[in-house]
Amino acid sequence: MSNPITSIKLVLLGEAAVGKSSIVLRFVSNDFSENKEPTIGAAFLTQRVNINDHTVKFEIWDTAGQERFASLAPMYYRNAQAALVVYDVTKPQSFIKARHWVKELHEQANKNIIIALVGNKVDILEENEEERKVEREEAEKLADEEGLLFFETSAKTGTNISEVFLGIGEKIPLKGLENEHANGGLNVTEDQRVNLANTANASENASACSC
Amino acid sequence: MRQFYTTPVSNSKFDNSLSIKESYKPRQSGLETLGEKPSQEEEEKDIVETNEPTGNLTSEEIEESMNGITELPVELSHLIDVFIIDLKQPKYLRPLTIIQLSYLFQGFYTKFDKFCFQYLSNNGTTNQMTITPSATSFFTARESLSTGLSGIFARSRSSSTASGTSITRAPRRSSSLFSLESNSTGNITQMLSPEEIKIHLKTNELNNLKIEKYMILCESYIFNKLLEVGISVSSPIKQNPSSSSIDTLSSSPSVEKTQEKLNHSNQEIFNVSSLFRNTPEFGDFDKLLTEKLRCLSKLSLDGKINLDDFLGVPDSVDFSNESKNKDVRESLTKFTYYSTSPYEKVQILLNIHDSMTYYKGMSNDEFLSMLIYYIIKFRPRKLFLNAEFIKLFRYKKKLIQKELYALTNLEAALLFIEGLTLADFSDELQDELTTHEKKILESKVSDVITLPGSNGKNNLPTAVIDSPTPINRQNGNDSIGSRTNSNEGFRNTFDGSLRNIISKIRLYTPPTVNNLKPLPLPRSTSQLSMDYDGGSPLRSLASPNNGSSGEEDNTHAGTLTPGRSVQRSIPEDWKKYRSLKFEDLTITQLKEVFEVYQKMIE
Repeated sequence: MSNPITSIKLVLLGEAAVGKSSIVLRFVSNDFSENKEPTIGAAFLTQRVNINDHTVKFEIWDTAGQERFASLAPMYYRNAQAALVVYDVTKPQSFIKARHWVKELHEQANKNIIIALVGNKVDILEENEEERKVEREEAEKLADEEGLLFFETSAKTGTNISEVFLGIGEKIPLKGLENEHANGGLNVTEDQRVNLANTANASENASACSC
Repeated sequence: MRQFYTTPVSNSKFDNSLSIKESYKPRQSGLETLGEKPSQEEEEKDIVETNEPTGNLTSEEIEESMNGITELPVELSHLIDVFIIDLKQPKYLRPLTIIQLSYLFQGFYTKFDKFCFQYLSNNGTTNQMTITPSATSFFTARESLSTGLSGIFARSRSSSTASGTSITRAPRRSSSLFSLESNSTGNITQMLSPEEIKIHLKTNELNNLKIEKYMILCESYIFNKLLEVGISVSSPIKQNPSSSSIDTLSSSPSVEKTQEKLNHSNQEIFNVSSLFRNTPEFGDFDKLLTEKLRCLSKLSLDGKINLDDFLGVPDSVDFSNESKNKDVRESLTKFTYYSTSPYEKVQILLNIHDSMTYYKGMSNDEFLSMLIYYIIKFRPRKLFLNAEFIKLFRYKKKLIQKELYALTNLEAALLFIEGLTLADFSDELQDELTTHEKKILESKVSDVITLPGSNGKNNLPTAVIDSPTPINRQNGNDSIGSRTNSNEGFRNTFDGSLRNIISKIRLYTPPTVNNLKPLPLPRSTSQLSMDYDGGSPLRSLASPNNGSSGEEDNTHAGTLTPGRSVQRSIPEDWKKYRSLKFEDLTITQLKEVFEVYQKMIE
């Protein structure tokens, strides 16, 4: 109870059927303790992880991957502190889409958003390396250029799944909120939720009168 | 009973836009520079978690105390009545837009939340062995001062005195500017045994849960009350024909009655659209959206579009399950017609998501496309208004996580439908359309109608002001008793009386033309009082913000000049009214006080 808890809104982006929700389900079920937190299928999930002295609570928002709904994504990534951009290593088209998402996030999302590029379904490659259609180097290059975290994962076997979330958790400014605030101030104050909560802070201080 | 929320009801000419305004802006920017904001941020994050039970609290305990709460205590429901009466006062220059109304409600929720805390901590003193009753009430009394701009100063003062006077105070996170000081002198943590801390935490946790419950009841009470008494006011909100048969607020609020009504609410149709009357754009938007919905629905019925394919519904979804379809259909109807409070509606929305769940790991590829499918199929009316209603009137602090997600899904679905145009359909289909259908599908609804404040969709316009501010009439009188420090007392009397005077002055100033403009009033009281601190660093923080926006009002008030140093050529007996209530002052006495005030600002 003494651990400070940081809530992180994380949004999942990527083409339909690349395994966005599988990744999250794997991440959540890795946890031994049952997940008592409220969920909406695998579309909305929360999960706590301890990183060093901190508890990070991921609030995971799934987006619909159908191309038809692409224009609705901003409603979901609004105010998100982190994003997973997922593609399928066996589907080049999904990587092209991932590029688009990265670009759009940089243009439209929270300035300080932490983006992890995730190539999923590497388990297929273990059986047959020929299935690979998106080269690791190509993805790494994109990640370098755009300042992204990069992982190749398998939701099926669990490879690298927790690393993705730990990686994000470590990059989230926990104590150094000043910096985040200075840069992201605009975004934060524009956010109604945060903004109003701030004004309600007096009461929150009161009701949180713990130690 | 403290009625901190209402303006003087007796004066029907009272114009709220001229009374003291609460302003959050200066507070934010003022604190930011001191590095206060980040810590608030942290706190905020912590606080989100406090609702969740830790290992200390068993679920039985929670259940036990929660089951007891089925209605609001009279003290709390009374606040709501006062708020509604206040809303019904014909005191606004022009009818309130829905966004202004939402602002009022959110402000009220915040205060109600705060008051719940006070209410609970006053009741719960027996459980908190470590805090003497007097200390607790001492703090909660201070707490009530902390509103708006003056809140910062009241708060910081309270903490700095607190560190000296009350050592038994329980450790609490303080957002005070002097929190460091108070911690170092108090050194309180060691005085509590682990047991005691545990009990204390437990009580806090329970209280938080209770507050949450109270807030839910509050929303339900407010909107059922509005349903009961109607929302007609002489000016702000127009008569609502369907629900305003009882036009006057019954003298004594009966909670049972409202609760009962809630149970039989199947007959009552809460017409959300009546709330949106003064902002017709919303109604128009909804109308066009419904039209589009009907058109799409017909196209799908006629087999002209295959919704499954059109929406890219994943193969895993099977719409042939009739009982599920029925569930969703009923929930949608309930959502739009047979539910009243925003909380209730959000819960139904969550139920809809539950009904749609075929398997545990369902992703939003499925949820969103299904939701759109069902909406087009069942085309519930006023869906858009209901979504907006939740967004505007659900307590913002609680519209988070799962609730916010479900609402976002609904909004996304509506945005999708609203944005469908001919270009989204195949050429073959376009040829089959009637001219009427073509017209409906010609353009996006959002291109035709611009919603107020829609450029930041979710943002409340910061300029919305007309919020009734707690006038804090007891401000001066209430707290003087507890002051030992004469300087404090002085400052407070001064604050109190000056504030009253100013509101008096403002009462007679001509109404400002643009009522959307912030009228930062309490600034001057706080600021002048800060001057007595002898060059407190706060002053420089507080003034730029206030000064700039306040100039115009000063000219109105005639004599007000903020930020000028105060001369102390004041009659010896200037303190003599400190124990009087404002209401008790005669005109002559008021005049005297006013003269003192004039001397001060000269």
